[in-house]
Amino acid sequence: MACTPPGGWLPDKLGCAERPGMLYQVTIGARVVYVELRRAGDRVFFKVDDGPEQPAQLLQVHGPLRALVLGERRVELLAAVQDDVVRLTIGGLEYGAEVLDEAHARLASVTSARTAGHARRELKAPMPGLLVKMLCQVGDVIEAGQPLAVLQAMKMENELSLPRGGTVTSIGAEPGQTVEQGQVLVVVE
Amino acid sequence: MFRRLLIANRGEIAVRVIRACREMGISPIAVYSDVDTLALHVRMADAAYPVGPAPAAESYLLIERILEAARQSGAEAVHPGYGFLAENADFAQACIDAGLVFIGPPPKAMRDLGLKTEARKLMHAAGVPVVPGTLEPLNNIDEVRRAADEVGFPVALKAVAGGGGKGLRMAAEPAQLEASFRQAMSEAGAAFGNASVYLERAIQRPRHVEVQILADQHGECVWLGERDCSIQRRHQKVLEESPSPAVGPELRARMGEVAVRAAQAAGYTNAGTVEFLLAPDGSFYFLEVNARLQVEHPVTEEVTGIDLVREQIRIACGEPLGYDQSAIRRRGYALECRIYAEDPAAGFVPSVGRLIGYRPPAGPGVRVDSGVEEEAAISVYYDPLIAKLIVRAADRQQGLERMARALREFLILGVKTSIPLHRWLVAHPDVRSGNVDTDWLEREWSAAQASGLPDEDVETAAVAAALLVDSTRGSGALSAAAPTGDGVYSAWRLAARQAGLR
Repeated sequence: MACTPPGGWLPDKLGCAERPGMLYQVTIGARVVYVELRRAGDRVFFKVDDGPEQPAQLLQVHGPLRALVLGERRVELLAAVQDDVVRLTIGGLEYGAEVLDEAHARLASVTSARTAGHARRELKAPMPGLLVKMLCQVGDVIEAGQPLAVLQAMKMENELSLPRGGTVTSIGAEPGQTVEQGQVLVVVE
Repeated sequence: MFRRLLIANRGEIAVRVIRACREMGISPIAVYSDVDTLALHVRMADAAYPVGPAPAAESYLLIERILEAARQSGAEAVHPGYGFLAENADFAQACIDAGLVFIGPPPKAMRDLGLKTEARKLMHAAGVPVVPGTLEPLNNIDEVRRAADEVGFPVALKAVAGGGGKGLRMAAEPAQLEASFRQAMSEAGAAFGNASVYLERAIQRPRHVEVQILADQHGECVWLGERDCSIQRRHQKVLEESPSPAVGPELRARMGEVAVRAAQAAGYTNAGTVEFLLAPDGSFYFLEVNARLQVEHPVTEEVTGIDLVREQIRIACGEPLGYDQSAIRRRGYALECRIYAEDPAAGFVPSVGRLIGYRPPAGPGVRVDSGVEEEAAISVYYDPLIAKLIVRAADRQQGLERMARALREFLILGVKTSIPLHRWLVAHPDVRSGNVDTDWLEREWSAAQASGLPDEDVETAAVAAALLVDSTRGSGALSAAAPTGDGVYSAWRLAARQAGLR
C-alpha cells in the first residue's frame, strides 16, 4: 500500500517540524541502504533509497522477538544491539547492521578512513588457538572471503577470512604463536 | 530393566537419551563440567554429578570421574552418547569391570573395528567388499610408494585409528605421496595418539551411504535402511537423508545384507552403523563401522518409526529384539541438517557466544533435537552443534520443501549459524536432483558461493535496524544498552545530545 502522509516528505530539514524526518545510512555486509524515517504523531513512515514512502511498525513481542510491519508486509524477526551493531535474524538468516544518521555518516566520510561501511576491519581470533599459518602480508589487497590466516583450535584447522576486502595494513601475530580469543590477527582498511 | 542410567555426555545427545529414559521409566543421571552447571541436560536429569572443569579432557573424558559419578548415583548402566568416550573400548571395559552395563557394543568388537586396518582384514575375510589397498599399516615412504603403485592413483592415506577425516590425505600422483604420508601421520598422531597410516585407492566421486543395524545378544541382527551423507565439508557431514536418491530397492537390500554380515563378523551387538562408499557405477565398499549411536540417527528413526535409543537400552539389558528383518518397514523420507554455531561466510569458523534469541521451528513433520535454549552459551570447549533439525515427509521433494520452510522459521540470534548454508543447500539444483558426491560441497563452495548466500531480506533488515535505533533515540535506552567506546553509538549519544541542545 502506497501511503501519502499528511504534510509531505521532509518539509523543512532545518527543523521547525516537531520531529523531522531522519535519514539513516545502514551498512549490512557490502550493502549500504539509505532509510528515511518520518514520525507523524504515533505513526512512522519509511522510505528505502528512492522507493515509495510506506508506514512502518516495529513491535516487541518478548525479549529480542519482534514483529515488523512494512506497508502491508509482515515479518517476524529477532533483533538486539551487540558491540555497536544491530543484529537481526530474519527467515533464518542473520544480518549485522551498522546504523549512522546522515550527519554522522557525512562527518565520518570527510574526517577519516572510518567511513561507515568502509571502516577498518579487524580479523580477530574467534577462539583461543594456535596460529598455524598467516596467508597475507602488509600491503596485500585482499578480497572478501579470502583466507587470511589458519588457526588450529578444537583439533581442527580453521581458515579465517573477513566478509569484506581491502588492503592489509598490519599483522598482529606470527605463525606458531598461541593466540587469545579476540586477539587481532590482521587489520584491513 | 535398569532403574537408574547415567549419561556420560552433554548437550543434545544427553537430552535425547534422557528423553528415552523417561519414556522407559528409567531414572536419568547426568554429569556436568563447571560451565554446564545449568545446562538443559543437567536440569532434565533426576540427579547430576560434577566431573570437573570445562575442558573435556579434564571432565567428560575422565573415565575415573564418570565411574565415580555412576557409583555415587547408584546407576546400573552407562550410555556414552556419541563423541567423548563413546568409542573408547577402555571405557567400555572399565564400566563392565565396575559392574556397570555399557550401552554399546562389546569392548572387543570396538577394538577390532576401531583400528581401520584390523577392520579391513576382518571384513575382507568375511567377504565384505573393501576398497583396494593395504591391510597393514605402512611404516615408511618406500612401502607407501610400492602400495600406491599396486592399487593405482589417486590414493588416500588414512589414519589407522582415524575417523572424521582427521589424518586423511589424498595423493593424486607419485610426487604428492611423501608430503601426504607425512601430513597424514602427523595429523593422526596429534588427533588419536597413534600415527599409523594405511593406503587405499581413492574412489572417484563416491557417495557416502551408511546402513543402520541393530543386533541383540541372542543372535538377531537387522538392518534398518540407509542414510545418504554425501554432502560433507572436510569429511564432516552437513546434511543426511534417507532413503538415498542413489539407492534402489535391490541395491538397498544388498547393502543391508552386507552390513549385517559385517556386524556379525565383528561379533557386534547393540546399535551400529556400517559405512560404505558407493561408486558411480553402483559398486560399494566397506568404509568403517561406527560403533556407537550416530549424530544422524534420527533420520532412520523417522523413516522406520523405531526408537534407536530405546532399542539400545533394551539390547544392553539383555532383551531380545523381538522382531526380525521382515518386520522392518520404511515409510516416506527424512532429512537432517546439523545446525552449527559457525560462520559459513567466513570459512566456517566456529562462532562462540550467548544465544540472545532462540526460536526453533515446529509444525508438521519437524523435529528439533537440541541441548540449548535461549540464553545458553556456545563455548569454545565443546562441539559447536546448536541443534539437529530433522524433517519427515511423504517424499524427497516435499521433504526438501519442508526443510526450507523449517529453516526459515529457525531464528537464532547471538552467534553465527550454518542456517544460511543449509538454506542455500536445500535450494541448490544439484541437491534437488540428488546429483552429489562426497566432494560436491567442497567443489561448489568457494568465496564466490559464500557471497552468494541467501540475503533477500537485506532491505527489510536495514529498515528494522533503523527503526530500532530511531525508537531508542534520546530515550536513553540505547545509551544504556550500548557499550562505551568510540563506536557508532557514542556518535549516537552525541547526536542525541546535540538534538537536545537545538
